[in-house]
Order: sequence, then C-alpha cells, then structure tokens
Amino acid sequence: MVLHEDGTCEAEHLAALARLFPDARIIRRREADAAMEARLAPYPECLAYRRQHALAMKLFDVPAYAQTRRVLLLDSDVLFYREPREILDWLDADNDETWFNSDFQHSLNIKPEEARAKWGIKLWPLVNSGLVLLNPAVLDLDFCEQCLGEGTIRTSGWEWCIEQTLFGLCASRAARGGLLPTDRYEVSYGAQAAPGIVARHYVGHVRQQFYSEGIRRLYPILLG
Amino acid sequence: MSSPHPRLTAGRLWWLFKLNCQRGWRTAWYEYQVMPRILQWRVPVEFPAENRAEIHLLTSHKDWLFAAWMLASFFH
Repeated sequence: MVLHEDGTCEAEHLAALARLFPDARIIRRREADAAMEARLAPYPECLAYRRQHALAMKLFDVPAYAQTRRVLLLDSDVLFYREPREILDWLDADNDETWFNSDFQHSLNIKPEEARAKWGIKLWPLVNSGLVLLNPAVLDLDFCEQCLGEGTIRTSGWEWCIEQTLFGLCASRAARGGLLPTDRYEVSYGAQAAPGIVARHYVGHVRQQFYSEGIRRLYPILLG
Repeated sequence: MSSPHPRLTAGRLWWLFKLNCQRGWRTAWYEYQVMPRILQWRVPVEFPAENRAEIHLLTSHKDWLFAAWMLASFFH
C-alpha cells in the first residue's frame, strides 16, 4: 500500500496511519516533488498542472511510484460494505484492463463528441476516479501533455474534474476496461445507499452521510 | 493527537452550531466522537510479501481520518 501525502499532513497524522497500516509506504509531498519535478521536466503542461493542483498527484505520482502492473486507486471518501468481488476478480484475472466507479452525472471537462473529434477517442462518459482499478501504463504522459496543452479541459468545467477527465481520456484511449456496475459501486446524491451495494463514494454534499450512514454502519463491524 | 479541524474561535463555533443544526446532531456525534475511534482498529490480515497489485491513495490533513476508515472498511 502506498499513501501519497499532499503536503498538508502533520507528522502525527502520518504516524497514526503508519501505526494502523504498518506495511504502508508513505510518500511525503516534499520527497515526491523532488522526484516528480525531474520526471515531468520534459512535460511542462503536466508539471504546471501538478504544481497547481494536488489532485494531479493521483495522475502522475501514482504510476511513477507503482511497483506493480496494476494499482487499486482509492479516494478517502469511499467506504466498503461488502466483499468487492469485482476487484478480487480483476486481481485474479491478471489482465491489463482499467475500471472506474461510474458517476451518476457527466463530470468530465470534455464531451464525448469532442473527444472523438479531437483525438478519435470513444470516451467512457461517466468516469469517476474515486475508485479505479488501474493499469498505470494507460497514463501516457505525452498524451496528457497534448490534452493539457490543448486547453479545453483546463478552461471548461471544474478544476477538480481535470484529473478525472485525463484519467477518462487515457483509459478510454486504451479501450480496455470500462465502468463498474452502479448497483454495486454507488456514486449518488441519494439520501441513503442502495441496498446490496459493495461500496459507496460519498461525493459532494452527501459527504455528511459518510458520518451518519457510513460510520454508523461500519462502527459495530470494525470496532464493536 | 491534534484534530484535523481548525482552531475554535467564536465565529467558527457559531458556524459549527448552524451546521450541526442543519445536518443533525447525530451526524456531528459520529464525526467528532466516533470517527477518531478508528485509531483503535487493527488490520485483520497480513499482506503477502509478493503483491499482485498495490493500493494507492492521496491524503491530506483534512481527510486522513477518512482514509483510515476507507482502508479499514476495505480490509475488513
């Protein structure tokens, strides 16, 4: 397991995480910056984006530090309620596919028709990068540089969607994988999680339900 | 262990009061009282030396406790 720290964590936070997960590699921002500045030097658009947004670390640092052919990339506001069979099957299958949480709305800074017109990519439209079964090889820095240089995905839509958009473009370009089933891996503004879900990503204003639903359900299981 | 929340000022206390009235005091209870208890959790499995895949996550001072809950729920 690898924990990438965005430069804001205090030492005691990281020490607490290290006590909980003794096998974790913790990579501090200042350590990562030194390595990534060199790695991204030939890619000025990527470098500028990484300096500007912490979320870019998901896109650039994760493949740089990955020591395996496949990576399970998780946001901290995801909770698991059942055995993630699809993830375990992906591990067993030993293929080069990339799979994403499926969003309930289009949250990418480019429309599918634009992606097709500009790069000939059939874009998976509902990509959500909160839970990714990732083949890091799909993250092509030359292509990311091209996309960021083109401008549209940085200037249209939300800043926090840039990273998600690049994940979507890169993986759709490789065209191996897709979206996880929505009845098992939920991203929604629903008042309650659907019955039978494996995991829920508590996005946006349902973040409060991470406490009232997620911790309430999991506390007796994990600590009761 | 320091809190992930900023220092309490009169203005922040008022903001928190309004927030908790809006979202419900039960939610506040789970955030402030129950959430930090994840630090008592212990990983139930030993990881194999040779992994087929790694877990990666990005964390910050605002969400490191969220990360602990997410990982605990995954490994359980």
